[in-house]
Amino acid sequence: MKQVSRRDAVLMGVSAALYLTVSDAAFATPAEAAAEIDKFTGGTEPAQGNISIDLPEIAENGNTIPLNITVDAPMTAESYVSDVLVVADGNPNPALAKFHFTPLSGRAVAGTRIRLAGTENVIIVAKTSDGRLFTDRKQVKVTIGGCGG
Amino acid sequence: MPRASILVAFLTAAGAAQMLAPVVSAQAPSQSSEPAPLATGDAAARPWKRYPGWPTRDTASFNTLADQKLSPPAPSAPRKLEGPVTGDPAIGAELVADRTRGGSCLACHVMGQAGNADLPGNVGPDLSEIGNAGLKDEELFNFVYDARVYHAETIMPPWGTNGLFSDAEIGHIVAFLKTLTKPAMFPTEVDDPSKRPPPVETRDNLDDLVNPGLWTVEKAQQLWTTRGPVGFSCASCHDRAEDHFKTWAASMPKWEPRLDKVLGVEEFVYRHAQVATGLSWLMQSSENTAMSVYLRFLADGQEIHVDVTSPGAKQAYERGKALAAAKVGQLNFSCLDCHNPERGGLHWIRGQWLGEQRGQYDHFPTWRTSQQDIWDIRKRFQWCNVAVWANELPPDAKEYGDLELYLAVANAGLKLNVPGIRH
Repeated sequence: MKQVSRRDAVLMGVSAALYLTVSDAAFATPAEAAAEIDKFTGGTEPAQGNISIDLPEIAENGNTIPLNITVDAPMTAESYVSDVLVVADGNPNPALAKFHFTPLSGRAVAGTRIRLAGTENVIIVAKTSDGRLFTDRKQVKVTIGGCGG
Repeated sequence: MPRASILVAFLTAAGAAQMLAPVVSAQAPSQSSEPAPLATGDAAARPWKRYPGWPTRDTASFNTLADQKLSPPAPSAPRKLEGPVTGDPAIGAELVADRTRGGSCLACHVMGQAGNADLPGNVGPDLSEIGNAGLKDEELFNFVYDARVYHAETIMPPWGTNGLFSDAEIGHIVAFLKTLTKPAMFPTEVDDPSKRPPPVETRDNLDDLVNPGLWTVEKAQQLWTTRGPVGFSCASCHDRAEDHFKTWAASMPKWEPRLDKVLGVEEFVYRHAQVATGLSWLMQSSENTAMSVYLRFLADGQEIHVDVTSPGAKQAYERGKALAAAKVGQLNFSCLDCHNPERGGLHWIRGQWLGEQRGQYDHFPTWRTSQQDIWDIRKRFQWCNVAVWANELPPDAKEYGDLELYLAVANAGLKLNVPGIRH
């Protein structure tokens, strides 16, 4: 999938903000998700990769979707993965979870279940103790029911 | 309690139970080979009220499992139209994806880029190039209005006859169908129903960190020793549940000649506990569901094996089989239309997989992640009825008993695995 650059994200933010002024959409926008990520990164562009995201491609509903994250980085006193942020770019509250690690964690691995409002991207950002940032994302397709309302 | 006082208590209790409800037969306070005493009367709330949050439409003028003489009959011939069909293809494109019409066309058909080709179903043929098929307007109109005039056995809802779409709306849909001349392009592979992988259930449903429905087992263990107004608890007669119920639930549902109907675990629990303890655990109450899960949980791993040899059971099975094929609701679907692989079974309706009958019983009651609740099989029947726009029956309806017996036979040999966890 094409990565959203910072400039794209800002442009998307502008259009999303315009959109929001004329709608009462309850769902977050990629811009709100980007703002959450900026809060976490301090505005630095994270490098792509080093994260494996285990999420289903398709989910029958969004209520309890299993998520497993592995950040591939050394966990030594000099450099370790200290924080991992999970963001969903279509949820009413895009920031889903934050995991904290220490060198004693051994591996930067976390698993949980998340709730998604619909088909959307789950974005993971990892931060190391020496200031490096990684990111990756995966789309989950949340099923549309057959019987209608 | 000393033996003598148990007996005295039981005699008093039996009297009390008689006053509470007519008792089919009385029994000493120990598990014996005599038929279990059962309360008569309703085993679920009356008048039955639909659950809050469920669709509220009243479809009383269409068939239900209890009355199949309500829906309008199929027309005998296609409608003759005066002049060409007029309609706006843009409106038609919206109507085919309108989820207030029972999922509409995309639930079953791929239709080019309609609905952005977002998770269409494949119960019916791919219509992406129907515009090249050389069909006349009148034929397209009649296919949508009531396809039974061309194929008596079709499972397609009679959208016009049953009032789901007006003539004008069908005109818009026809105008849209005529624009379909190119194969669909799917945004992702999972959008394509021919490539979408069917769901595989791999969760450990007996791990309480995985299955929130396991609260029922704990609750039932408490209820087991809860004394009712009669003075007895379940434990008074069945002291160690795990010794007495290793196989029982796998033989349910069962034809009950004293009540002239089929009883599933849930209805049995209500009727027996009502007489034996005085507790009123109506079907689908949390107590009833907890106890029904527990009794099946104790028999987990046992192969489902129900009796259909007695004349009453045989007739009930035949009735259940007929009910599974009965067309109900404004959408005019039978159970088999969606769950028999020769029809809709093992296909997609939009993004949802239609399972076949085998495999739809062994895990009930089941935790439903979509509902965040645990449902017994009767609630599942009720929901399916409402989903095809038919009025549901109360959970203790005899038709549901017959249908449950038929379903249990289709699941014979599968091992009970309760509580399940599913979408």
